Amino acid sequence: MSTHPFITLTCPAGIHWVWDSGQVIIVDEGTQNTWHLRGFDALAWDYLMLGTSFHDLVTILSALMDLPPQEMETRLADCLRNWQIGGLLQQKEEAVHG
Amino acid sequence: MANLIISRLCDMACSYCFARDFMKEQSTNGSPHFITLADFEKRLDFLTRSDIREIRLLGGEPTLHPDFATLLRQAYQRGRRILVFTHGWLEESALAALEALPETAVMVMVNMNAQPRSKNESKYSPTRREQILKRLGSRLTLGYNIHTPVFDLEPLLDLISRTGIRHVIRLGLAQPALNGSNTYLHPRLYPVVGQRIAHFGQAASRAGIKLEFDCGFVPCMFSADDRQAMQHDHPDLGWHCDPIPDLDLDDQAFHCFPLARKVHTTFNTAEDITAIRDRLIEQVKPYRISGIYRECSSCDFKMNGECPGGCLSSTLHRFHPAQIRLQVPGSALQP
Repeated sequence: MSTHPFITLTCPAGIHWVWDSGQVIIVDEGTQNTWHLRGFDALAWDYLMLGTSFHDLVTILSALMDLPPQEMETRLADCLRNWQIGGLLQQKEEAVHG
Repeated sequence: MANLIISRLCDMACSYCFARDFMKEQSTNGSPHFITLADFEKRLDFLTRSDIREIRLLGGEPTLHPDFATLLRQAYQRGRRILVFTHGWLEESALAALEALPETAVMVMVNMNAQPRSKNESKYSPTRREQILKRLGSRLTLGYNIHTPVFDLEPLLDLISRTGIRHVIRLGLAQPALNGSNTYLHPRLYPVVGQRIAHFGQAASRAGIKLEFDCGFVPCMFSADDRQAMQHDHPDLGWHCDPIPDLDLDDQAFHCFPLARKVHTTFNTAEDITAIRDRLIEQVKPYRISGIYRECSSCDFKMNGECPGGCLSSTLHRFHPAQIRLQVPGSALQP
């Protein structure tokens, strides 16, 4: 049996968002910070809010932006890391046994 | 200005009431229905110290307070200007209390589309209310809350000329109570409503009657021509959304009733009202970047400070809570 760590990302409480003038505006009530996401970031956020899985997100965004999946996975991972650092996402580690 | 809630009870059942759900919750969890005379006196001390010149008495229906006459006299004796918000079907004692004070000291705002809970036709008849309006005379301003896209304001023009009340009509837009269930006017309907208001504005102007706007109106609900005509004929129109604030019975202050469940702070009467207002504004400051429409954050009216983006409660209604649970391969997130 082997363990492949997957990381579960969730949003902290108090994060609210809306599409506005072609951008995603996010309000973090906890810190009173606001985020303005445009372009790729806004699209990624929108799909994530629809419950899209990581794998499907890579597939969809690769097709939309005509980028190879591996490159899209790297770009998306950078985005998620930035959001973690900024407090929009928080991490829960889980082990998946397979 | 400050809004003092003196009664949580109301004998109306207005479908658009943004205070209804909140007042009902307070009543069912055992909170008092009316402010005590002692607490009212403390509020007056606080407002005097904060140099607030106008006190607005609200509810529920404020004239249902069993000591309404006493509260009114207490406020008057402090030299404050008083404005009472009411549905207008006053009991004789409340009416007499208002008539006893000078017209320059006490004003009354009557909600002309209040919807009585009771079927008591004589108590809540239009005839009876008209008699009351005549007695209040130039103390009185008519108010109307627009909660459907089709409405008729023309009868108010005749009413004003028959009763000798102030030649002013204050219009409001029914706003959504956040996490509430009231009927409200959706911002998508504002342009249709704007056309009707502009048309009525011309008739009002011909009759020598001025219109005023409560909070939440936006310039883009009118065409450029209508806006220009309205602002020429009715110079007191404005596009605003800021807390007054509302001071409730149990030392809670709200930004406004539509946001009572979300934007509130505890206050003590040793504070200054400016500090309370600043705390309430701070709580919602991040949301001010947006507005009631998708286009608000890039709109010229907003960017040059003419319009705050409409009602904040309607704005907050647009926002979604961020809820995701995303499983990511750990290796993908290694830097």
